[in-house]
Amino acid sequence: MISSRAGRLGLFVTILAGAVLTAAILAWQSRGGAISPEVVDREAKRLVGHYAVMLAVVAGFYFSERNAAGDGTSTAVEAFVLAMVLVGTWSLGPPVLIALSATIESAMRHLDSMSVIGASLASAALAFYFSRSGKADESR
Amino acid sequence: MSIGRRVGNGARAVLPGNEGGRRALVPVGGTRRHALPPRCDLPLPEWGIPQVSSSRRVDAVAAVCVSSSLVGGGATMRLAQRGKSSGVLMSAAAALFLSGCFGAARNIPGPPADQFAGQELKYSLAGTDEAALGSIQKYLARQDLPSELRPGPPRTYLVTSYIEEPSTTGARRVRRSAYRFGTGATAQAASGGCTDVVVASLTISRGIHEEAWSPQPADQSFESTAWPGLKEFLQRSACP
Repeated sequence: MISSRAGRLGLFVTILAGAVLTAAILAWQSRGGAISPEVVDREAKRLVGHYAVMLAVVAGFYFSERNAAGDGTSTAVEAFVLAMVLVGTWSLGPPVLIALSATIESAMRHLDSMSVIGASLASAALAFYFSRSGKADESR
Repeated sequence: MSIGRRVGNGARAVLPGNEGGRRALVPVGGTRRHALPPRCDLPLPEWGIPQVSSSRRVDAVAAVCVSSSLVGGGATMRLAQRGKSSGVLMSAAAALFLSGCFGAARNIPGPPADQFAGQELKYSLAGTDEAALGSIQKYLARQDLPSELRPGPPRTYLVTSYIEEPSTTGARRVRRSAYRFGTGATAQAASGGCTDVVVASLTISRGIHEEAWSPQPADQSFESTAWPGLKEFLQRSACP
């Protein structure tokens, strides 16, 4: 079992870490004019949209719960691991793709080709985990 | 007739629209940075897309050229192995290989004539419109720089292919430049058997981590490697 609060925090931090890492790698790759400012601007907006879906799910749960959900409760480790794998892959995928692809456009093409599946799985995993931890809190 | 500044061996340069009487301020004898002012008014977002498609089309053409050349070269070599005049055929095979590979890699078609924004330099060359553009085309051919004649009102243009600019060590952007020479219409024929030729340039660049070619502000101050020779030729061919 894992503390619901720790699990939620872990998932949230993973999403934030992915977003920050993406911004850092994009800035590093574009240094010296290696990517035009207008292209950086365009792709950065698309990447914000990438993380906005997951952050919206997380924010929705946090704001909808009146009490501090997960305090003193725990959820199954399997559920947390599943959520962490799906969310981690979808959050840390963009920085890895940008770092390994020859061009930013090819990285974004790869990301777009997986967007429907990736966003669906990551959002579903987040919703599942947060709802489970919330129920655990209510049953206390 | 345009009024311009006479420099060196007789070349004159005026800014378009300044033909009326005021003295032009184009420093023909200076660097190209001064001669061709910044073109910050280019519609930047729209530029990337056509350049990408053009580049891909060029890649496709190059691939076809190289493939056909390799097939032709291979077939010729096969014949050479069987036949008697192997020396001639082997030479033909080598020529096919080389023409396919180098010819396709060299020729990157230039941009449409209307994409050359910004100000132009005006030179007065000897001869008619056709003769002036013909002499420029011959010069470009000698420099192994393909060019294409694009006739039509209001002007007849000669547009060069893109010139790949050599990149320095550690550079994170690569550049291409193209030149457009125009005669006719506003580039009015001067008196005494002279023709005004307007010259415009376009430099675009691409970062090493992006695909689209686009004109950046830094490109406007870039001096193409072809320009000094070109300028010298235009000044040498100036109307006496």
